[in-house]
Amino acid sequence: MSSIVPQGVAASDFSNALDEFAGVVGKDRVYVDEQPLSSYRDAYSPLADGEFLPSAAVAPEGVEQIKKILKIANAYKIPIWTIGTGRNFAYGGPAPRKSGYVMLDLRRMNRIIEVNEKYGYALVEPGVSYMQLYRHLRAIGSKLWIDPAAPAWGGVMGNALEHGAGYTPYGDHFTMQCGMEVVLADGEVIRTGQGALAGSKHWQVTKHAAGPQFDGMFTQSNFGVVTKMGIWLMPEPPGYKPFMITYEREEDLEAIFEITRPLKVNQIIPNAAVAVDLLWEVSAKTTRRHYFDGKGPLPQSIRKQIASDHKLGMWNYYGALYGPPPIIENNWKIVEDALMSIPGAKLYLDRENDPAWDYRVRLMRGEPNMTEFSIMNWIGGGGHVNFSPLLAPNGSEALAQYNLIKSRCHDHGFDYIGEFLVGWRDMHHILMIMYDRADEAMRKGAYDLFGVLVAEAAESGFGEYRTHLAFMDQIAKTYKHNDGALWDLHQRIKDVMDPNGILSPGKQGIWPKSMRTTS
Amino acid sequence: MMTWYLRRRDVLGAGALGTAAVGLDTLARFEPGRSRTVTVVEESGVPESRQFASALIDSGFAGEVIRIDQSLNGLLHELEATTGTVIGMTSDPVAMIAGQLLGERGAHARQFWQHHYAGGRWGHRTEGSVRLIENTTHAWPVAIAHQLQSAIGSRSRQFPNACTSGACALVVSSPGMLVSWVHEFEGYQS
Ligand SMILES: Cc1cc2nc3c(=O)[nH]c(=O)nc-3n(C[C@H](O)[C@H](O)[C@H](O)COP(=O)(O)OP(=O)(O)OC[C@H]3O[C@@H](n4cnc5c(N)ncnc54)[C@H](O)[C@@H]3O)c2cc1C
Repeated sequence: MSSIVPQGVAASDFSNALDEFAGVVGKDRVYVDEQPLSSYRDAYSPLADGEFLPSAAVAPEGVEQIKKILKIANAYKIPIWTIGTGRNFAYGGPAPRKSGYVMLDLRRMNRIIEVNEKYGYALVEPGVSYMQLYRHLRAIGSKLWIDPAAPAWGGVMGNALEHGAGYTPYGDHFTMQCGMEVVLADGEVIRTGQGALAGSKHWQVTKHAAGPQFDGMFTQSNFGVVTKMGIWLMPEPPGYKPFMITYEREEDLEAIFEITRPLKVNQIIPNAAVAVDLLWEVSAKTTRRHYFDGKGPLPQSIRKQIASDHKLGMWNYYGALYGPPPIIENNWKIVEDALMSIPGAKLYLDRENDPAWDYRVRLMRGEPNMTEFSIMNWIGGGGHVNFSPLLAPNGSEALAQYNLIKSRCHDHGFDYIGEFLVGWRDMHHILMIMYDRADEAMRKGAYDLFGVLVAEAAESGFGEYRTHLAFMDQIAKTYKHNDGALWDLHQRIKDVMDPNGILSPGKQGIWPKSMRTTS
Repeated sequence: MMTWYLRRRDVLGAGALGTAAVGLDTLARFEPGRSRTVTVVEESGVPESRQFASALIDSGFAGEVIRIDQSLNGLLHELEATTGTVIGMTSDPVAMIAGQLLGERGAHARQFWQHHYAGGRWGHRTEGSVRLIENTTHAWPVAIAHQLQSAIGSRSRQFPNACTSGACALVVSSPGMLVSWVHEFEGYQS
């Protein structure tokens, strides 16, 4: 049995609580031994081993059991950490924010409650993965697509709650979410939007309803346990044209996004337009050790060699057009003229034996896969953490941010491995900091680099859209307007809605009163 | 992806070749009458993984093989149904995904050996006889397959060791960092 006990909870109380949890879900659904608990650790953690370990886990099968679990947690003031599919790797995986929390593992709740072909949506429980929904749709002969994040094992709900992104025109998952059922900390069950109307038939059709809209409050937060969520699904289009364009120079980034902005804002390119840097792109095909045995960032001469060997650019741009073929062909002329106007640009409409092209083309047409994990072979050794600042789809801003981040990576001995992704009017920049976890100096360097990036990005006016557990507090503190009034509001809401502070304490830097001084 | 029930003749080529190359004609045989299912996960794009899997199949130690292509989707589809012992020499990300999926289903992590190409040499962290691996040239995955079979069920200290032979190269399609791993479901421990 694990020797970890939640902070501030007497061992006898904890033992009683575990017995009571077992009374709700059955003894075999309360996990206390090392073997089952080890699967809740963050395999890619930037911290030394032994951090962020749960004391136990409890796996309910439905809302009634969740209500009872929360009642017990309230009685003994036990902190619990909610996960859906628990694949949040690069941001903490399934691990809790602090050691000692009890995992509320919702993987058993994996029903696809409804698929509506006519209006294009699904209503799912927290344990439904992209792959599961995809296979289900194919099995029932549906003509609806899903929009998966790159890892096929991720959760439709968990990813949307984290504001995650995919690569079809439905790639902004929080925007595509419609209607939630939530169990609050006191056990009350609410439905948002039209779901609050008894007998509504439009819960997943519209986000609008009388009164304030609460859905956002249950994303990247710790105000409730979401038990059902609607997600809009894109009808299979009559045509699909993926493309990739390589650009030779790092400075081309500025022109790329000046050209992309009108194409995206006007929805000429309807899906996420992504500019992937050389090393991210090539890492699905080869590794650093095939080219360079030294430490520190790759020399420029080797980068050029890699680009030439693999027919890649310093930036590799992916996008796709969708719809009736005449519309695609018409829009393609506009896209091609614009994006190919940068000197040295090379267009690909197909690439043979290229796993990176292959998985991106699949993702852009809603086919889940796991290929992107192979990019971790670039360094090997299973460490990576994502730094994800937001910016405008603006060329000079992108280039300035790239130069800043790249130089900090180089200062710390890391390669820059990143991509820029324009959703609609905003841009996500994902820097993948990779390290070998067995190399303690490298792991520590990655951790330090992340901290520096958060601080410097904030000084330049950039905030992150999401983050790893280890940096949630630091990032929360960068939202400084009016003396941190927004996070103050989050914590005031937390104290009212969850006075015992049982739900995911510290998630996104939102701590309950009892833990604010100790956190 | 499918789980294949392999007959010896299906795999004789690669496995036999690898075995001969290191002179391992004593590879442990699957013990008849023992109700243990051994499934080997082969990452088909990785040459070392193919060699390792072939050696285990050819020796009769592994009765089933799950072949994973570059989408890695087979891990999600095929590992769901495994029982007994699941074994593989794979890239590090595949080892992580497999470990996660098997661990969640209740499998115990038994062995986790690392193989790392650096400074023009393969280096290994393994249990058991070091010398066997040091001298195996390009057939080291076969030696590892042999060594891992005998290590299952008894965990001992790991030793670092490096390839000492003249021919120690990294092929283009190798990730250069590999893990050989074993997971076992309760009741199947050998
Ligand atoms: C190689 C690689 C590529 C990746 N690519 C992408 C990508 O393309 N796009 C992307 O968005 N991400 C990406 N990620 C990050 C991450 O793996 C995915 O976002 C993944 O979908 C998140 O895990 P999950 O869906 O299982 O969510 P979970 O881990 O289940 O949930 C995430 C968090 O949401 C909260 N939560 C979950 N369920 C509930 C609930 N029912 N009630 C209340 N709170 C809840 C919890 O705080 C939880 O920690 C990538 C990661 C890797 C390693």
